[in-house]
Amino acid sequence: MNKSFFLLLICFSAASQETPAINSYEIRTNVLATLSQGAYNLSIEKQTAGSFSYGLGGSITQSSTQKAAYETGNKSNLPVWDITPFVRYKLSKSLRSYYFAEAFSSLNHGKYKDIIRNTDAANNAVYIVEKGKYTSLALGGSLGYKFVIKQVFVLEFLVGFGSNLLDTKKSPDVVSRVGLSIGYQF
Amino acid sequence: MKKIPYMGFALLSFVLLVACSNKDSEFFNEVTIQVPNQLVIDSQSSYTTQDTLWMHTAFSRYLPEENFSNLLDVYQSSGQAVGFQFAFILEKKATNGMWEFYSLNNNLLKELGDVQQYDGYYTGLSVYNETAKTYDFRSGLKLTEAGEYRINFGYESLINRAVILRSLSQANNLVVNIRSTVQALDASGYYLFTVN
Repeated sequence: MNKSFFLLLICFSAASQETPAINSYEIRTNVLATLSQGAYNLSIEKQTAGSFSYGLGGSITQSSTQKAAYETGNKSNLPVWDITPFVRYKLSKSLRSYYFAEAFSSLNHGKYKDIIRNTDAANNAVYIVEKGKYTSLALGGSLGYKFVIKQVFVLEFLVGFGSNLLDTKKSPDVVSRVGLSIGYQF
Repeated sequence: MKKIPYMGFALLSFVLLVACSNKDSEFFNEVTIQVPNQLVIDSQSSYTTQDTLWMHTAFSRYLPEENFSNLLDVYQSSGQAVGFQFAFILEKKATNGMWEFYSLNNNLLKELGDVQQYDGYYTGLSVYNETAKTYDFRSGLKLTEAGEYRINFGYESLINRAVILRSLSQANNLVVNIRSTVQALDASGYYLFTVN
């Protein structure tokens, strides 16, 4: 598995040495998030004439494993969907492979559960597990690395995180943004 | 200058790894309250062979909780748990001075609730009394051999001179833990006694 992965990386890296082309748009999906968390996602990115690009991503989580961990396990929240606008800045001049820095916001929605102490009609306390929904907005930053292969195909690594600013008692503190994405430029 | 992105990438990866394990995403389906003296060892100043050492509980389903003025209903909180269980260890001092697990076998007396012997420890079970609305347990350890003995209630006993009474919650109901100090325990968390 690891050997195949590194061979793939080498092929991508070698392919990225070809003559670059400038394409304005890129569409991609984060396969790591899909495989590990059941998050089906899509992002579109627009490259400007300079070092900046901007785009919008979205994902919907449909994972029975994640759901079971939330319903009966030790997971206090279950992401359902998010919409993530972002702005990126290229940290090198190359068009074929380069690092970039990213600022993003994430409108994220999900389910949460918490233990609360209620008081019944007889003024006795009872602990219950309360379940509900949250919607929050996170701001954060990421760093990534991108290969462009055959002028149109893209392989991208991304690592970042943000902090939720709204509904903070219910939403998770941290929104992670980790990706191994494949994409297409046009 | 070119090193900056690499260093930034490594730093961010590290921060993210730490963030991935942030505790706010973890959920433990249990609550722990502290109520002293809910389990009592009926201690005597001295024991002789054929004496019985009794332990008992008879705590209400409504218990006081620190920092709250009203009582906590542990029966409802635990999803109407039929009982609260705890573990204890009985040891006897061997001729070489070492403490060894002491097996009572048929000398475990059950009066209320239940007590069981396992490999290296015992469990007691306080069962719910619908009429009195209490969790009751009374069990005796019949002492048939002379010697020095000691009882402890595991980690909580040794650290806090306490026992953990854990609700037998069914399905996905909350588990209620009652951490209760046991008055008979010494500073090291043991109840030491001698059978003559």
